[in-house]
Amino acid sequence: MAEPASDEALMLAYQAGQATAFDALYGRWRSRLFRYLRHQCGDAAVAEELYQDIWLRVIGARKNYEVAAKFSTWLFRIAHNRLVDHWRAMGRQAQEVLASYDDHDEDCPNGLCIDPAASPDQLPERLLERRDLAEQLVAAIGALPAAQREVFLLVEEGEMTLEEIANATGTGRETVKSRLRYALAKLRAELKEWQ
Amino acid sequence: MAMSDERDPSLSSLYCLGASEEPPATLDARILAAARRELVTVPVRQRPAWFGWLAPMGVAATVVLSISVILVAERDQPDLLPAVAPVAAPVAAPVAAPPMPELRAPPAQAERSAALPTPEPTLAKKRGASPALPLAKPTAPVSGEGRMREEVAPAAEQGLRAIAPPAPAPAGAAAAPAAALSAARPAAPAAKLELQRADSALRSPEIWLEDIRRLKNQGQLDALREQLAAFRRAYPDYPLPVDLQGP
Repeated sequence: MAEPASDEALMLAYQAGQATAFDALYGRWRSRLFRYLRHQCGDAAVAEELYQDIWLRVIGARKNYEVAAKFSTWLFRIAHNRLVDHWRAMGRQAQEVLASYDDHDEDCPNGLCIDPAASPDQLPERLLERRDLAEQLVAAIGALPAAQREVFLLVEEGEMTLEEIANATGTGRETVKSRLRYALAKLRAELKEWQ
Repeated sequence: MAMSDERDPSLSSLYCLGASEEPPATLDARILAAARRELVTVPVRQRPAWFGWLAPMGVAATVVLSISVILVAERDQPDLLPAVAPVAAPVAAPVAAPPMPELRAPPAQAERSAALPTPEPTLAKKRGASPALPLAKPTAPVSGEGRMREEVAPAAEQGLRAIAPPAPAPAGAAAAPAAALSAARPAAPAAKLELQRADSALRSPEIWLEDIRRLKNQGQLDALREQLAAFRRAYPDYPLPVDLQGP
């Protein structure tokens, strides 16, 4: 069985004129990018607007596309920059969001680790409880500072490494690592409290 | 999986369960349509391989052409400059009218014409068009070029007095033999001879002597004598062929 084409190969194929390559690429990343934006913005309408704008930028960059990094890194870098532009355009309302990107790194507080072995089992009653817990987690993600939330979302949705996130967001690897540890600790704390 | 050391698997699975948002289908359709429209409206042209060399090659060709023009100009300039360089050399010749003052003179003669006032302003005007062959006009020059000639001309005259026989022909007398020669010949042969003179004036002494020999063969003795005299004035040290040394 043939190995599926990489994201970069699909983008190059689209650059060469294959519309189906873009369809496949879009199918791979549409949900992930949308969720990243949806959680980062909070507003569905704004997320949709940004989502469309980002993909149009991808389409517009087709002629000059070069494989300098993973496609996901390139895609989420565009998304990150578009988000920052959006927050800046919002003016004062965005100051808090943007300020979170300037937070100094701190030692991660004592995190509350959820033991994988203690994860909910597959019983129906436990599944319902688990779904409630997932909703609480999403709410907790929305309460994270934007910079920490972004790192968490890039890990989960973009499946990116610390280096790739640092590359996409224009920050240092250690800063990314710190933000991620902060985010995980806060989320664990929220869930433990809710439980 | 990336970030295996940083992710929290339980949080990840919980997040996957809770995050189920999807973009609207209308948005998908709009984006995919835009992607296809992009392919139709702005196809990426595959440039040929040599296209990248077009600009460097153009610059290189321009540079080569410019250098070639400069080299050719520098090579050609010495052919024009000797008219100025032998200023002191021909002063040994007795000053007289050039053989064909109304036409082009050889470079040495032209320089003498420049050093001494000549009654033919047309020649000076013709030469004046070329910066490599500066000639003095009979009237007082006002340009820098004219001032330079004024400085050169007295020096040449002093050289003449020191070396040449003490009785140079006056300028008015210089034109007389040519005028007499022209009047003595019929019109058509005269025109032909004038052309030959013009040619010989631009040629080397050997070619000039060939023309003189031709005059001798044609029996034009007056013209022969005139040309020989002019030749001796222009090239006093040039040995004459035996057949032209006779009367």
